[in-house]
Amino acid sequence: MGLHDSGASSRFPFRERMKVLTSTVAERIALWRRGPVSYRDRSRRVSRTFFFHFQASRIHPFSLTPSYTLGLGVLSAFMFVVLTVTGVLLMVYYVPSVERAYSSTADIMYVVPAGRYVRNIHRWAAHGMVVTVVLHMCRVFFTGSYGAGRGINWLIGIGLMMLTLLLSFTGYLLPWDQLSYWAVTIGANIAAAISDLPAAAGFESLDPGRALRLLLLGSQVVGQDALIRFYLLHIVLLPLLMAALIGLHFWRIRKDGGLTRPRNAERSSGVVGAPGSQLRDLILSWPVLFWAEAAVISLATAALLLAAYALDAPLLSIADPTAPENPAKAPWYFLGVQELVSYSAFGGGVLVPLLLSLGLAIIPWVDREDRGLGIWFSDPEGARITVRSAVAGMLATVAVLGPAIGLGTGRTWLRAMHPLIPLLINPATILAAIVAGWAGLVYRTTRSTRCAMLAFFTATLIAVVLVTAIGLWFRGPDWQFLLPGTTAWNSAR
Amino acid sequence: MLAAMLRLPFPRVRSQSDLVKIGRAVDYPLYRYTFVPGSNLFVYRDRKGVRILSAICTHLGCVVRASESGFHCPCHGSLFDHHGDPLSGPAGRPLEWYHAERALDGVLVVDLTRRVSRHRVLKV
Amino acid sequence: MRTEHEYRSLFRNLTLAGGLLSCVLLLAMAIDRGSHDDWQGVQRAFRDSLLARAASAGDSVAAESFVTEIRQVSLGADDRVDRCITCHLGTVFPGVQDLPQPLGGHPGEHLVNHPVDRFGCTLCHGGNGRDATVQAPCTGADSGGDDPIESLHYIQSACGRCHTPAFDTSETAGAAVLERGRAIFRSGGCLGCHRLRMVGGTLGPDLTEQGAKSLSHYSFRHVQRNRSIPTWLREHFREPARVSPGSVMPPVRASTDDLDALLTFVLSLHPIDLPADYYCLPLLAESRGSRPGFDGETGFGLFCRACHGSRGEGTSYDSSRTGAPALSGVGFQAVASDEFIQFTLMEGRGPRLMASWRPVLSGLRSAELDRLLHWLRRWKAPVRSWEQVRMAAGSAGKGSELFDTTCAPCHGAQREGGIGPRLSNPDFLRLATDQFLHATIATGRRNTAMPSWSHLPEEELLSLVLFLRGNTPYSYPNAARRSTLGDSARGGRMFAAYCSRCHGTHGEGGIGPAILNPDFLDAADDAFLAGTIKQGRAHTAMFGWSQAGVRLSDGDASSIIGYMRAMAEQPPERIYSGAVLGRPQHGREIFSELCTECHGVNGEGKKGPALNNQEFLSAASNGFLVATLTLGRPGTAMPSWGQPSPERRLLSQEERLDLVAFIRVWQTDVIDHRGRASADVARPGLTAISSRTR
Repeated sequence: MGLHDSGASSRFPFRERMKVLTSTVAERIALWRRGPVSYRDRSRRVSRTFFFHFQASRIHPFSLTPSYTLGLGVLSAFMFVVLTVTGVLLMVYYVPSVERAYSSTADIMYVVPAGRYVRNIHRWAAHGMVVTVVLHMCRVFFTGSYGAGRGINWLIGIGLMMLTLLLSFTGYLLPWDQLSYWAVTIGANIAAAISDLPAAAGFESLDPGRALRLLLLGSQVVGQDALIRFYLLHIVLLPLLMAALIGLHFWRIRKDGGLTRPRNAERSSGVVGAPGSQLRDLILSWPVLFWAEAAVISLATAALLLAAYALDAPLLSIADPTAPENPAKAPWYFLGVQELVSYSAFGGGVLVPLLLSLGLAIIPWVDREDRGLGIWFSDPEGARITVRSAVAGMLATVAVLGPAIGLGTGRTWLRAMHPLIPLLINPATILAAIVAGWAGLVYRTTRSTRCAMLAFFTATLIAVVLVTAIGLWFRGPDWQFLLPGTTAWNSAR
Repeated sequence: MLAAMLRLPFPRVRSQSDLVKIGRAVDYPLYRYTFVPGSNLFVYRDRKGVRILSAICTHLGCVVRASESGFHCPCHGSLFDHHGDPLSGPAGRPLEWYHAERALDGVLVVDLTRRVSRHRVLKV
Repeated sequence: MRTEHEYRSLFRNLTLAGGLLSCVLLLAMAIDRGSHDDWQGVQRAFRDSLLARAASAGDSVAAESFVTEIRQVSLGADDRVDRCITCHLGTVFPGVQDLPQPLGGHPGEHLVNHPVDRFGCTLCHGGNGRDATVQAPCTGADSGGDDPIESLHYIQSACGRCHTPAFDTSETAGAAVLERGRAIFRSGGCLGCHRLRMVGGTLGPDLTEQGAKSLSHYSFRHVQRNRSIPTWLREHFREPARVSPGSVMPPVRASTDDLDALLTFVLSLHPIDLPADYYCLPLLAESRGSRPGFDGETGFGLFCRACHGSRGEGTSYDSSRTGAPALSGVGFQAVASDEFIQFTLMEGRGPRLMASWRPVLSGLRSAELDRLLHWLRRWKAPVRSWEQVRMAAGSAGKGSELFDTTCAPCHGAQREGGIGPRLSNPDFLRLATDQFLHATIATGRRNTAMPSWSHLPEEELLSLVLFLRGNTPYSYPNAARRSTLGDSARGGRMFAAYCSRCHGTHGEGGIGPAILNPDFLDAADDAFLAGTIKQGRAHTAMFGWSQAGVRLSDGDASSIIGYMRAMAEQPPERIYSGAVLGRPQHGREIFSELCTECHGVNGEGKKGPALNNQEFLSAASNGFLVATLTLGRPGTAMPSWGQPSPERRLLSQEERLDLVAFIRVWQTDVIDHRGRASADVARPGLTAISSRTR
């Protein structure tokens, strides 16, 4: 480009410089409008823009397949961004004091311009994030994408899921209405159920639950201390932790060579997904990857706006510590835990969730087969196992909970048992044992750890969904088992 | 210093005390479990004296209500008898009985950190 | 797998679609205020009306300066904010009263004394003041239905919140429904179980803040209709046991209008949570425990009527658990002493439904309890004087017939005595004046087996006296009526040494009659006492103390009399039950044969009162029990076991004493009038003292 036309500049320096400047600007605008074309420019667009550089500049086209990832990872991250933005907007008006939390939330709903919509978006994005995170975990699992060295990232992802649940839970308290107050009371008491074990074993004076509740709530009951702590967790500690882990998660994706893909997606027989795949298999990220992400973002935005427009985030009456809700239910994502907890506080609230988390965490190290990597359900056998495990999970849940609901939890007619027995043998642990047994059975017959993990994960997933559904729709006042739509629901709530 | 920072989230001073004053013994009717709302306790008074029972369900901490045969928890349906022993439902441990004393002004003071046997009566 | 170009188009199209949808939604949000920010629409309509009016009136300044904004009243106290006037502009703008709602004015003159800027709207109307939309305040939909606006049907409950005390009788103008409700409350005996502003019973919930309780405090599991507090209250009044399982509250029998009035009153009961200058003084005072005292009739209406009946007729023990004895019957009034009633009021009946009405527990004052007792006594026939009675037309013959039915069950068919003293004893008759006889018959002897017969007509009383007098005239005319009383301390020692063995340590009777009984000492003059002490009663265990062995002098006798008079003036420490003179084993047999059907196998009460109740046993002396057995309670299911009847067998005097001895076995605590129990009961055991002979 003749940017420096030395001939004319000496005579009319100003005019020449202006000409150069305008032509450069015109070029840049043209360039911007058209976008980078050359290989180098497209590559640089990604690697040299701060907000884009965490993406790879080259990706395998398989990663774009919508039916493969369903965009869930991007969706989850986008939800987090939405939550942060709407959360900051809400912080302009919300006051975390027990006298004013409720009224400030009510004012946001009724008086603040667009406050209702901001709060609704925040609420539905929060619920949505829990759903997308879980679905993302399912996608990652079923495509076997924890293999091929991606075990660490799987752990980070589990951590992110826990953080998501915690963020949702801490945020749940902030409106300070009847729903929040009692949901958090239940949640804190579930956490404090850890004391049941030493108590049943005879160490009455050891009370870790009390200390845990003190740490969580700043007191033994939900009050101003709890509100401040939850607010602190919700707006600072947990989001920072989450942002850090998200960054780590993205970094690991890059380190691990991008998204997984099946062997036959490779045009040459390179190692699956490892860095150093043949360059000719990859395409430049710009612009297609960004269009893909933009599609996810824009559809998600539309969905959130629709939800915010159509449904209002609930705001019941102000929290009244003297008037317990009946039934007092935890947030929906904890209702499965609460259902199991209604049989045994320790078994359902501490033991089984811990075992479940542990089980999830060790999956990549139990299953090292790398079998069917990048393919949903690995292969036909895997698909069969998945279907059977789903059925097995359903049957196991019904078989264990049916009698437990119908006949009572055993204490009615076995009152003289040593307290450790119901602690360790209760519907939650029995269900966990059955699921573990099923996984073991599958391993025995197929001799494949992948199939065993498929069995374990699917059965657990179905069981969790069913138990949550029971807690959500079939439990009425006094935690009675009621079919939805019957008049017996007509009670305090 | 490090230890102190680790201790930071555990408050030394809390808005709720472990010693609760619940009024004078003569203010409570006889032969009945009277609920003391602010502190979630039941006071049982008879001619022998006064006993203090916790109203916090040992399952998940909801407040139990007195019923015909004892107490019942509305959250998950745990039932307790008049001694606080669990009869049915998910609660495993009996309701706690607390130590009570008379303060200098004659008012009953309950120590929520000291549990006593159910037979211990404060003579009034 | 598509090509890169295909993917690019696909995703670009999806992005555009999503973006378009988002824009549409954003636009919809911006434009559609219909269901959310409709206050702006309402205010625009208002401005149009203002402008229309201004056009005709020629003054458009107000209209044009009208700004569309959220208007609110901030009440300062605990962050209360009412935004109702955002739409209900007629309440704050003058001259627009006639516009249709919500723009129109507030009906009535209420806003003159209750300006919106000081009271807001939700104080009276309830609802969620923070919301500035249409649906939520009316239905409470946004707050989950927990804070709905008050139906105008019960709006007077709002007046009561600041204006209407419960115990003061000052009326609130313009709140007739509320006043009616309060009247029903005050005469319904509600505070017998419930508590209101530190007064009342503790069996039912405290009603002091009932009107402020939100929906979450009510359980609708058993309420059939819509989920609102007035519905719950109305159903609860009608069928308490169904709505609140386990409740012992009797149903409130009243018309629907009356029930609505009553629930208006209950809804008006709020705590004092506003600054003091919002309230009328009697209400403020009442909330601090300073209230006007009430008389006996009001007290009965406030506390007793629900169980004991509006005319004291009691409640049948068949209807749920709330059986209560009849208080107005002759059988009760004649036999129960003032001490018995007082003791029952103060101690209650322990685990039974009758609560203790001690001032510390009930909030009542001692003077009010006394007035209540006084009022209860008006069901008792007054005692007429001897001067009145002697004018009636009676005869000894009629008296003889009367004696056989009325007095013989205790005094024996030949007046030879038994439970009661021997009335044919000539020594007795020579010492007893006619006044003495009449006084004893009419007033009775409190806490002994001798009831008060003041309900008999005058002829009958005279006839009895004449019959008893018979042929033995009074012949102690020369003795001084009131001798100089001696040293009562010495008298006390002598009493303890000589008299207490037969007459009881506290003179409550035993082998001998109750001689420290105030009724006896009122009737007997010193001559009677001195004569009896010195000469005794022939053929009875009372020998003359001036003779064999002891030789009491006149001075000794007057010391004893002095002591007796002094003791009669002191209120007793407790009600002394008296010696047990029957055989409990026999009593048990009789009890299981005749009494268990109504009183329960262990006296725990089934269709009749509980007899094993410690408070009852401390209140009822043996005499009370014997008299109740003998006379029964006419008008109730308790029959008379001493008077012959074709329906049941007659219990002889021994059998009645045996029954009483058996009942006494149940007593483990003796409660004094300070409410202190001691276990040092003289348990009769199963070996009884031999019954006395006369």
